[in-house]
Amino acid sequence: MGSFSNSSSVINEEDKNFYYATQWSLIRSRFRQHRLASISLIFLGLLYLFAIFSDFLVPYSSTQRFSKYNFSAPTSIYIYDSEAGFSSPFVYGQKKILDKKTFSWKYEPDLTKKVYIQFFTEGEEYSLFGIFKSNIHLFGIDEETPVFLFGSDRLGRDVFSRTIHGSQISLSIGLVGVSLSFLIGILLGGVSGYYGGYIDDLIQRFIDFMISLPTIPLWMAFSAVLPRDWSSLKTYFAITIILSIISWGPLARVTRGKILALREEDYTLAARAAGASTPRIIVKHLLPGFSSHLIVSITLSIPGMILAETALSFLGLGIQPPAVSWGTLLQDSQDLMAITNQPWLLIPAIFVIGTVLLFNFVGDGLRDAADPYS
Amino acid sequence: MHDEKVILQVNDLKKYFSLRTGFFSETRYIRAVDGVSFELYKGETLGIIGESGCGKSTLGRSLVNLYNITSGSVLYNDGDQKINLINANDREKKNYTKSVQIIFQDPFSSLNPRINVFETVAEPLIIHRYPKEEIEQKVSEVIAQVGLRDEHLRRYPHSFSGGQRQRIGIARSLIISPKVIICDEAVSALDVSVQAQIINLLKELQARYHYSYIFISHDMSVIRHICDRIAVMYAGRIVEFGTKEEVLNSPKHPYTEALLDAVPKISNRKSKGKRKILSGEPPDLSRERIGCNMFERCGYRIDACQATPMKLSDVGSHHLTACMRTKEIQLNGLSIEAKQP
Amino acid sequence: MQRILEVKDLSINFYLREGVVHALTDVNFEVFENETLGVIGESGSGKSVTVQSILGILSQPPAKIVSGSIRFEPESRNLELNLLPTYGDTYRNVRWNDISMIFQEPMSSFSPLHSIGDQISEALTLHRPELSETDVLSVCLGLLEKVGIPSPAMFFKRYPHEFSGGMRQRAMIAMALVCNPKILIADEPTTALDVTIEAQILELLESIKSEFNMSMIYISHDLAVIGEISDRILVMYLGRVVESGVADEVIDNPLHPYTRALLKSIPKIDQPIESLDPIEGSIPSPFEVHTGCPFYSRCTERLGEICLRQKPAHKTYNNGHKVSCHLHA
Ligand SMILES: Nc1ncnc2c1ncn2[C@@H]1O[C@H](COP(=O)(O)OP(=O)(O)OP(=O)(O)O)[C@@H](O)[C@H]1O
Ligand SMILES: Nc1ncnc2c1ncn2[C@@H]1O[C@H](COP(=O)(O)OP(=O)(O)OP(=O)(O)O)[C@@H](O)[C@H]1O
Ligand code: SF4
Ligand code: SF4
Ligand SMILES: [Mg+2]
Ligand SMILES: [Mg+2]
Repeated sequence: MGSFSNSSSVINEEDKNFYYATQWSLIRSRFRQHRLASISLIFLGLLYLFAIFSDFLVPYSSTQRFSKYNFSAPTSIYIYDSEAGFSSPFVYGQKKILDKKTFSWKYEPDLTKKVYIQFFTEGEEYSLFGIFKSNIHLFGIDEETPVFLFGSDRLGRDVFSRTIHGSQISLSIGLVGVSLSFLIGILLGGVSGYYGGYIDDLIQRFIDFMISLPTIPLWMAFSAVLPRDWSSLKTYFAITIILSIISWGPLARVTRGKILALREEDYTLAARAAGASTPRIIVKHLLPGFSSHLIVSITLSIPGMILAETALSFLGLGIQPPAVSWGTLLQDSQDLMAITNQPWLLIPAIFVIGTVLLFNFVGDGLRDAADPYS
Repeated sequence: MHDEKVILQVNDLKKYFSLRTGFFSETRYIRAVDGVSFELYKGETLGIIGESGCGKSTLGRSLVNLYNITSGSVLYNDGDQKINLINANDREKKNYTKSVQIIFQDPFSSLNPRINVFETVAEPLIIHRYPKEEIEQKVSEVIAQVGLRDEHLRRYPHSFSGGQRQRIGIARSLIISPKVIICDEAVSALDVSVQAQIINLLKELQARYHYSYIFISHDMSVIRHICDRIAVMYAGRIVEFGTKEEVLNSPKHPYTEALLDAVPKISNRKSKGKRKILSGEPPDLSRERIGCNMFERCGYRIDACQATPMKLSDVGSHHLTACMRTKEIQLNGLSIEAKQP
Repeated sequence: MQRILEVKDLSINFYLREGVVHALTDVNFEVFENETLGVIGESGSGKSVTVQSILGILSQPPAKIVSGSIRFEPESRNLELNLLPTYGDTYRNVRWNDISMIFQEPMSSFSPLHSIGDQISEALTLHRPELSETDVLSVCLGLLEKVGIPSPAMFFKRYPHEFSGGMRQRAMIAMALVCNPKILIADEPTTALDVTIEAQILELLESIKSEFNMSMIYISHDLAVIGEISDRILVMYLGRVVESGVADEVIDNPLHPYTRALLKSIPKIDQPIESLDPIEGSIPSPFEVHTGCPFYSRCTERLGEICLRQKPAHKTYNNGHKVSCHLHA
């Protein structure tokens, strides 16, 4: 105590974590404090997992039809029966009866026919990631009595299976599209910000022009010229490109703004004064400086992409059947009749809204955490 | 104090920034540094003082090759090698970079928050491709020189105070053993109680390694404390130049007089409100002018000042001034004797 | 001399996610009529928080006045400012009419959307609604002239961004004067300005102060400026007043080790050059809790256990020189 020095020789564990914390660990710990964002991130992760393993998770392929069962309401699953007591989950068979008042078909449980749900059962063959061939599904039931967790559509296809299958396109189109516009944005924004001058002016005016275009009519025009006979994969990429061509502008703006600011930071100057080359400065000082901000912008622009795809497909201009996306699924619920009589056809909309909200929550959390040095 | 060997010779250095306000508007020029000449001796501290926007930082940054100079020349000569910065080839530029380094003002923005202390300090060596063992050894040496410890090396800048950050910045500038160090407001952003630590550190390092400093500041008290010679800058030009004693005790330019008068003095309590005060604001740097650049604010001006081209002239004992009336007017300096510690 | 403001045992905490900042701890001082009180302290010493609490412009939460009182004109009106609702009419009137303030960054205190003249006249009409339009105009032009803005009529319709820093600060001062306040608080009004402009503003404040018969609280981290402008000085360190007294006393006969160290550590233009004696270490983190003297970790004159464990009491000498240090028990 008598000696005159900074008493920093004893460092406790908590301080140490703080002292040695990198940018990313600071961001991570700030993000974790954001409860809603962390939970949203978990749910988003689950959604993407579902999308990846959709073939395994759902009982049917997206095209399998049960022609006897069109517009069937969601099937109830039971685990209790007055005779047998508790048992493993089962469903009752359905019988189709004519409602004498409305003259429409209705399904009612056929209490005499009790079918148990089987887990890890064999079903239609699929190939996971295009490589592993398998026919095992998480759950299934015999051919005669289908299980429709979310009901069935006009052609008797399982809405649950189709929704999960559709998430593959709907969820991935956001990622792929954003990566594309990210590439264009980072390139043009980077050039614009780093070189400045006339190049900057030119690119900025071009972005102004792109942003000033009305998006929906433009998308429609673009997609309308896509040949109808393209394969669904081709259409998919075409749509992605259309979406990203229009949305790179804001990303380029963010990149440029950040680069302009970071280029003038004293530490960048210090590196230049020490003789650092341009690539080194970009990789070592500029990129890490705005990568976190880019992630935020990207996260926040994914929902826009998802919505855009849904909108296009909903209007029949996007993904073409037989490929399914949430947008094409929602096409079925375009008329009022459908909404009043078959409300379960709107379930994909819940997925769209949920995903968009989740992305926004995560984006908000990231935004708060992105700049740990503020 | 210093031997009479010139290590850096700056001749008529100009740095103009072009300013475009819009796509189609015409280009104007900001004459941030407009014809500055001086020589820096080995081992000396040259102070550059002047108010905000007079071009001090631009000058400093031009000298470390951060800006492309508009015109003029910068000659570096440490006895072993001579480099002319203007027409240097890549190898010479690299050597120049190793010899002339800069310390920045803001201890917060001058360190990349995403890079730990070791990498920050080692960066110049990494850039110049030193072997790994040498890097480690040198970093460890230099970090001790600036009063930090090895255990600090793995930490990130956010865990340091302003003074410690400035030490890290200094370590980075010292690590490639430069001969000339430009301190651009190196203590201005620090807490007052920490300023003295850094001033003393810079002085100690100079005593030990014979660095030549160009010490840029707007604080006359600091300049007076640390410098051997002083250049007073006004609107992109040096208006007075000489040894500390000459410039402070018998200024030969009205601007220097006004600066000295304006500096707040702790013992001024009894003479409140008796100062001569420079009125008005600094001039617009984008306007071209022939005559004295302080004309509008000068209390001694006559019409001829506006028409006669500005030029530094020697009034004896290497004391230069740009004021053409210097012989006719009587200027007051500091009355306190500036004896060395 | 009459006291015009009395701050007693004021403690203010900030409750933040990372912990509690004890921004002010038992702050005591008073301001007399027609005097300039200089407040000196380094970054984070609580200077701004002190004056913000006087004006009732602290953001609460996260701030909370934990204890203490702030009384305006304790001998006559005795307004207990800390008990008034900060957005109430009484406080609002106190804010412009009795106490007004100029800030470090005058840009942010003006709206960029309205001309400087409009903003000043608006401030005037708000507090003196009885004035006619022509009266308002003439008062404002008079004020602008007083603060040294050349050809005020021309500048009246200009926007803040068209003003230089010094001009903006002058306009800010004019705006602070519209209601003839009794106290003018200046929070580092010259830190962002050049020395020559700083000297202009200091001179201006000095003359305005005597012309308007005001008291002034002048805040700065520059000891030379404080030494120059103050009648009395308050030295703050880590949210505490460690020393206060008449300016000559504090500067020529500093009692607290921090004041002494500070004086020895800064280069002074008007004294022979001596080597500087820096204060070792750095300012502790604001989250740190001090059971004893907050300056302990950096004090060269510390006494040991007692300084570490026990808060030093305030000691007042006959000439009004106050100090809080175990050396002066
Ligand atoms: N990159 C730039 N582009 C255009 N103008 C610039 C640039 N850098 C500086 N300037 C202008 O050049 C002039 C000189 O600036 P400089 O930064 O050298 O001043 P300074 O003396 O260092 O001032 P301070 O004391 O505020 O740091 C200013 O008018 C400034 O606006
Ligand atoms: N709005 C706020 N939120 C959180 N903490 C604050 C806030 N304002 C002030 N503080 C804390 O209160 C303490 C005192 O701050 P204050 O702004 O009064 O210091 P100061 O003396 O004015 O310093 P400076 O010279 O930097 O202006 C500091 O530790 C600061 O971190
Ligand atoms: S030349 Fe004339 S205007 Fe310029 S500083 Fe000298 S006296 Fe003043
Ligand atoms: S109380 Fe002790 S530690 Fe604090 S200033 Fe006084 S002597 Fe120093
Ligand atoms: Mg500068
Ligand atoms: Mg403050």
